[in-house]
Amino acid sequence: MNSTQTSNTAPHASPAGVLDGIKIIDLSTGVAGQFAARVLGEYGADVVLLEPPGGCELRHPKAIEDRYLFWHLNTGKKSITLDLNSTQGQQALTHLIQSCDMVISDSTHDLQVMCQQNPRLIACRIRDFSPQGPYANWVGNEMIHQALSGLMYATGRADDKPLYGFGHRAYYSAGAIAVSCLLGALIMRDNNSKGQYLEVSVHETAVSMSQNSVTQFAYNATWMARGPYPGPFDIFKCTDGWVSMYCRGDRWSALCQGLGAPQVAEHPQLSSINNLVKNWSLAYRLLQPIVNKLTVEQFLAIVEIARGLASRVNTMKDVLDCNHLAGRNYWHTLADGVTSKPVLGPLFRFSKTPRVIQQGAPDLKPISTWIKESHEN
Amino acid sequence: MKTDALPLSAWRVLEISTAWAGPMLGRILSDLGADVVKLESLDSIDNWRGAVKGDDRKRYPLGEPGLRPYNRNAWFNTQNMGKHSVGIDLKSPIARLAVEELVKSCDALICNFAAGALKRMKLDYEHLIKINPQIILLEMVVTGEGAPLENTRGVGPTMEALAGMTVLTGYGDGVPQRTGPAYVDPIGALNGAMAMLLAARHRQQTGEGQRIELAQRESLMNWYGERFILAAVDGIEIAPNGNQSSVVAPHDAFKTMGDDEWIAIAVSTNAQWIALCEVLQKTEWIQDARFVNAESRIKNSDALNEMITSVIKQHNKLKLAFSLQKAGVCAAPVNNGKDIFEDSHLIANQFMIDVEHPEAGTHRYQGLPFHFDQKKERRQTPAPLLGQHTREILKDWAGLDDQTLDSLIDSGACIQA
Repeated sequence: MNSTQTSNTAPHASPAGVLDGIKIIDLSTGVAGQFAARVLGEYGADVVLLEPPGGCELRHPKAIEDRYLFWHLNTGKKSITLDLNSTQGQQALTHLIQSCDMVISDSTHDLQVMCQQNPRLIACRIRDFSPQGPYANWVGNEMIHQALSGLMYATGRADDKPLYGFGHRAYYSAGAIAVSCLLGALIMRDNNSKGQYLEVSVHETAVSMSQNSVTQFAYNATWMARGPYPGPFDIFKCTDGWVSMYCRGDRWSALCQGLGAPQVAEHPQLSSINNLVKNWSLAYRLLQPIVNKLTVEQFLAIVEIARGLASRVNTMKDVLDCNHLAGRNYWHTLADGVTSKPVLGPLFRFSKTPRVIQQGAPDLKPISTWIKESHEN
Repeated sequence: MKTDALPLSAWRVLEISTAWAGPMLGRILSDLGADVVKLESLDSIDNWRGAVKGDDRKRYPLGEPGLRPYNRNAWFNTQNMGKHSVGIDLKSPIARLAVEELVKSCDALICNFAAGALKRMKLDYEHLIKINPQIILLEMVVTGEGAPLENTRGVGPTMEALAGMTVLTGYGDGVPQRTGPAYVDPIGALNGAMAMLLAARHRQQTGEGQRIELAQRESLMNWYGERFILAAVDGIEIAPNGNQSSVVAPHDAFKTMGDDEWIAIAVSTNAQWIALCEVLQKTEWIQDARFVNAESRIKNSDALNEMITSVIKQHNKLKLAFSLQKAGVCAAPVNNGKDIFEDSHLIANQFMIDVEHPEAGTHRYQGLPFHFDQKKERRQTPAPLLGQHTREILKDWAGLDDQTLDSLIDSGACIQA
């Protein structure tokens, strides 16, 4: 998406959503819960983000990289501010819960009591750690979850420290699990008219995404380490950028041929797939000086002819400018006060029940104003 | 359907998939109650069953591939738990009738083969709805159709690069670093689960099936969408800097006692900093002007990390993590496979399960994080042998008789384990 491209406005007219008529109270303060509620809102649910006076923490990020996190997580929602430390605030929440279908929380709200007050309620608590066991009182963050999950141990160079990555990916993933749990419970409620209380653990989510670490150790007492990929894969430097390249064993010869280095494929330590995997660092040392003189486009073309797989290591700008995403109308813009901001495309595309976002992330609104406007509408 | 059944109980799902994203989605759908049948053959084998004659020995029980390595691969056996396997050649004209009968009897089909593969097998949506108008088709592809890159093929590390994720991890030296296990794959599976449940509810309410296109690059981008918006609105791209945070310090991995053992520590408040100094018995650091607040700790992070490293190398990572957490400091051991296998919290919560597999033996597997009221009653079954359920499923689902089955197996179009 660049200044010369016309970006799309998110469509307003829409077919009936899968979750039309479902009312959700989003009590969450962090990424996982707010992401979950956003996704459900995109498919028809009416989502109200309930915030403390002054707004939730994500409205006031300290880190520059999170400047637009609140916007990204809260498009399509309404917001009301409510002081839950006051009696009136608690009463208002009780009233709201009576008429809603789902509630999502990542803090200390007593969701089980809410389920008693409204037996059709589906309530989801997202926690860093499940409440029983030795880590029950531990505090977590993104790096902590990636450390415990095994992803961090296996990311980075063999001779350097483990890297956790960046951002909030474990929390987004827990949000996705929360969406599936809530939808699953809704389908169950469609059948039996009963709500339920659900718990999602960020820790368990992250471990379930750690490939096969537990099993590999169980099978033969080994584990994945940092360093070379278990296959002919690497990131190569070209004259104008980086390329991530994967080449199957049966394409290896063709790749070396394409690079003008057939002798590398014939090297005795690299001439079979098993040897190639075992001695990949040698292969890399021999190929990198050749690739180093090519442009990204030249290297991609050679890999393509050899039927290998490769991509430029794209920057944010590369992705924003990608013609393919523009051709698929991936980027949208929505009003944010007097200006507008970008919105990413859908997570998945349905042929019959597409995503709909009616509005950008909400402004803060006291409950009194919200009630007045609701009555007027 | 029983009124207290799991969300996808009585659902029949066909799976045409390979490696991680597709199979993990199938495993999730099984965990949500569906009967999942993997359609596979020796000619088009799931990559994670490994090479027919065996693969990297780190994937097999005691490093031994055995006579049928494709039934003993830890990678496959993790992501395919709870499923059935029908050994069938999807390209064989002889098997076409059986395939169509399976399609007729199922609720959904999931696939993560390369773009265009289903069409070549005449199993794309246009063909499927002629056989089963209510079917839900979920296709996982790299880039999605209708634009210049629609035929892009990829694996985890190339998809992550394409999606702008690889560039966000690194040591601060300008060299991009991939995620160890390709993170795009499980993220694809989690997206697939959300999509399938949305489509399942829609079908439950209206009787209408549909096609779902899951372009893995596009869904992955949502996992750090705020970074694209920052680049689009303000033109800012933030280069990675190891494990350092821009707002708090220390925030890093520190080497502890042992070979390649590390602890992750993230101090976000002054109180946590004081607690860290006390646990490390370095209370003199509390008064050090270089470290009195987050701003000064970030400014002096090189000296800070050096001092912490010099002390921490004498500690056991797990014991120190418990001590720090008890004092309110955000910390955890950097776990390898052995550590996760032995993780006391996961064990206490029965997150890991011991399952007996007929050709691989009894081993521990990591679970999935879905907890419904009814789930505890569900017994976890192992990943299937290649073609283990061919006769059973082709009889029960496709309605084939013994004579037809014998003929399919004799011709090689189907295999029965």
